[in-house]
Amino acid sequence: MAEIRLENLTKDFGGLVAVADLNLVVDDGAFIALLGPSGCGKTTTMNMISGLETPTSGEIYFDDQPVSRVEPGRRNVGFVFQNYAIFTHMRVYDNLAFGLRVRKPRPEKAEIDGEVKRVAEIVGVSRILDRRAGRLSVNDMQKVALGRSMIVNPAIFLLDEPFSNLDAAFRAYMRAELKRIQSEVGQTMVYVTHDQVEAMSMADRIAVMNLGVLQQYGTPGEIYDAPENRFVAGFVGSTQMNFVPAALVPLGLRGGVNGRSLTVGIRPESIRIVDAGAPEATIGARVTLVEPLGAKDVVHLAFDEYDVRAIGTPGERPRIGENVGLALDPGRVHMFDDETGKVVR
Amino acid sequence: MLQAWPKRIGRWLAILLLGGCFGFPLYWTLTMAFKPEDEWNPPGKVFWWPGHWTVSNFTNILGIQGETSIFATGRSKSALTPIEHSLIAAGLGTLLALAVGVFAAYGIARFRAGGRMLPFQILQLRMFPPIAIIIPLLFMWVYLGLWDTLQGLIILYAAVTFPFVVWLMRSFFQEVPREVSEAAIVDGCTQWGAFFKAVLPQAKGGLAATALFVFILNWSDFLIALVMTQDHAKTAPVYLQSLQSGASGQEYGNQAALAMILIMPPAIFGLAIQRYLVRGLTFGAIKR
Amino acid sequence: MEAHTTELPVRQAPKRRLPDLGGRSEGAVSRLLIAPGQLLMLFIVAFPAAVAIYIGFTEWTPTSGDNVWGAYHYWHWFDGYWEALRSGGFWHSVWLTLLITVVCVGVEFLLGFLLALLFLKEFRGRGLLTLFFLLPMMVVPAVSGFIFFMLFQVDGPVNQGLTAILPGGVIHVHWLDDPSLAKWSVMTVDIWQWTPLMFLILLSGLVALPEDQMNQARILGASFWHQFRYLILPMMKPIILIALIIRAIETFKLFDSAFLLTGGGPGDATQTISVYLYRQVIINARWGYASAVAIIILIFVSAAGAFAVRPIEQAQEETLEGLVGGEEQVAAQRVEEAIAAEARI
Repeated sequence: MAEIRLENLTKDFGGLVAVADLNLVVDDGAFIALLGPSGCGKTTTMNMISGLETPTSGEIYFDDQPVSRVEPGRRNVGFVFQNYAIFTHMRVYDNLAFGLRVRKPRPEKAEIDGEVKRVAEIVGVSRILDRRAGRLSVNDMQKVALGRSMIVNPAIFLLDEPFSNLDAAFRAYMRAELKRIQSEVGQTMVYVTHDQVEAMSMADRIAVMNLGVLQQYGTPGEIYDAPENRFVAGFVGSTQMNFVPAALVPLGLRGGVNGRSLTVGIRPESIRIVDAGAPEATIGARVTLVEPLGAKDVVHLAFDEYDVRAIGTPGERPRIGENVGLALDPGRVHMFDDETGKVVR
Repeated sequence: MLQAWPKRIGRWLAILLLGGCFGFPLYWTLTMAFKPEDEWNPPGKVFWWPGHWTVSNFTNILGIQGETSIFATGRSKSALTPIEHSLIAAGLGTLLALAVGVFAAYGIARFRAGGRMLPFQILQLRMFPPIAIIIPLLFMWVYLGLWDTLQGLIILYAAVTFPFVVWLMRSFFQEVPREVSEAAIVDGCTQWGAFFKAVLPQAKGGLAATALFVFILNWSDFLIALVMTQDHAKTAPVYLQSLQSGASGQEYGNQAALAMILIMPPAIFGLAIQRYLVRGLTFGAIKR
Repeated sequence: MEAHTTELPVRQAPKRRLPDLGGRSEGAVSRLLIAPGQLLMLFIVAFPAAVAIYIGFTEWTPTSGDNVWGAYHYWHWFDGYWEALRSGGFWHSVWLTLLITVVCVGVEFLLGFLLALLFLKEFRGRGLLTLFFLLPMMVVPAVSGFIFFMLFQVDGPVNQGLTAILPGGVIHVHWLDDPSLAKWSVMTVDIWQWTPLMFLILLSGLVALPEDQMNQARILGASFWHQFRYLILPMMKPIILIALIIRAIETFKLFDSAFLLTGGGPGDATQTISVYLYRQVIINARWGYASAVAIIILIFVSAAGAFAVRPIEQAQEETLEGLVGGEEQVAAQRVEEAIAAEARI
């Protein structure tokens, strides 16, 4: 329900720069993911948005209002922590009611009661309202954490890897639930994760970060098919992209090279395994390992001194040690400058 | 936001004020110990700071050289002997308490010896005012010839601090994983061997802390020594009290010097084990 | 007569070489381990208590000519107990001791909490200052009595200091001689000496409070007082209880500092229960009567002590479970998940 704008946001912990000059705009009502490995600055960014940390420089705007000097309680944000941080010594009911009870002026008891029951219904904890929060299952704690933040109707919702502790089936369920709730209520959501599958499946746009620097900000499709630098290309994709020096790959290079050293990147699913010497084969390689994954195989091949992975069909499994040809789809080849890491088009 | 200026100043002011209140008595005693006699209690005046620094109070109280006070006449009037007594009684009492208590603690921690309620029964012991059982103990001691002897004191000190040893070492032993002794047994040790070679070394730090803690307790004892000693085994705190109630007027400087000597060991040991103090003083209930 | 050494039943384990493992040998080992301790306690505590009960029924004094075994010559059943319960001196000391206990523990608690709150946030010199505030606790209690004896002299530093600060004439308060003031002086000593302990205990509790829960409360809009009332106080309950109980037990036994400060006087103005007993034993030598009083006290303390056991036990459990927000369950689930995930691939 509010647009978030980060301008030149920097957080310096006396030597360690956690977030460097971050510029980002999150549209009103959008669901974006902050994706990156540990230490990339995503949690620090979230803390600054919520107010738990103050930026060293730069500014944060909610709907054009600067908020970096505003107390967390006044920013109208909700925050779900990775370990939920529910109030274990209280009942579920009191956890949900907390946000309303500390409001000034304090709402009527009946009103609080109505709201608690409403939210409990939405997240699915109506039956355990009287239970002590410390004695819940992990899944239920999650729901309570969500409900507790929801009850105050924040304009912006921040979630820090909220589902990483859940079992896989429940995680998938919660992801769907979250998107449903968000599309109904229309809050702006910022979702932190290191799981790129999660980010790709949930977010409208993804902000990929590494070492405090924003690498790319785009839709999942853009991130996947048009990575802007080598880091993004390598980070996203369940079987990692292959990187090989451009000099080894005989492709008709688009445009001039200007003497720069380049690396070619291509995703395993864009490589077809054909017979060695077949006309479509761009390069040849030798099979070193086959990982059967059921619906597909991941075939490891030795190309020069590099390990290249390709996706094969189980019916046509090559033998280990066999020399085969690899057909690279030219439309799906990316080239990266070795010095800057940026993509070359 | 929370580092706002007025809050910072307010905090420092509060700390300064409280620090002053809590620190002043020690400051006063420390400076008094170094003041010459004419600065102890001059009429109508107070020396907030020693005009002249002197160590004569210390030499007086220890009977090292005769000077202006009644302590001039030699060893029997000096605090040296009571201090020795305190050291011996507290030291050996601590060792005895440890010897008995460590085994009991292990039994309770590992084997739930004595049943579930035993630890709390031991805690209840601590709740009795010692004066309450001093009467029968007094004539028992007289009867056994233990009254006014160091041996008698040592046994009493051991008994009084035994509950602390049990509670503390129990919590330390509970922190040593069961697997340690089980592994030792699998390697061929007996239960005793497992205890001495495997478990106890792991609890070394806790043992040291317990020892120092119990020593402080015994060193600080006053009531037991007051009732159970007279001329031959008097300890330093009792000696201080006898100086204070002496009819010859107060000799603050000398007394303060003795007070400072008394404060030293607990202060040093206490600061050394301050990580374990909370655990000790709450019978292991709080383990920070 | 050697009655007291031969008549006591002492449990001894059979002296045989123990087999390595097995439940039965454990029983023998455990009995052996606690045997010396039990012996000591029997000798020093149980037996004297029994004798005290015996003497309590007599009007025996050591000056009567008989030794203790002849005390039954002076048997008077419960007369000693009735006298105590009707004695003004006895009740005066009981109420005085209770007053001192309540006031001292209360003030120590408040001051200790204040200090702990002040020291909660990191600041320069915090470590050293903490050590400084711990010093009074390490002082031998008798010595504290002496220190304040010096300070509270009519021409001592306290009065001189007040004279310098306050307007008006010379301050000549009789802190130690005035019967109505003397007990407050005794309380001052105890407060000075033991506030640092409260400070330590409460600080250790505050530091252990889960930061995420506090942060969450801030984000939900809770002011400091809200956090204090709904989070800090409830979560600190076990620790607070322990601190109060431990201090109450010790303060009730107060002797050393009172004795050195005022000798129990003037009159009976600072005659705590311990001082009262001391006077009956040493000065009046009414051992029979004193034993009766002692037994009354023992009964009272044991009853009160029964209340102390449960909170201490609870605290040992609660510090593990309640405060951590189910992190144990989370960790356990993660392990299960990891195993399941491996099994799938």
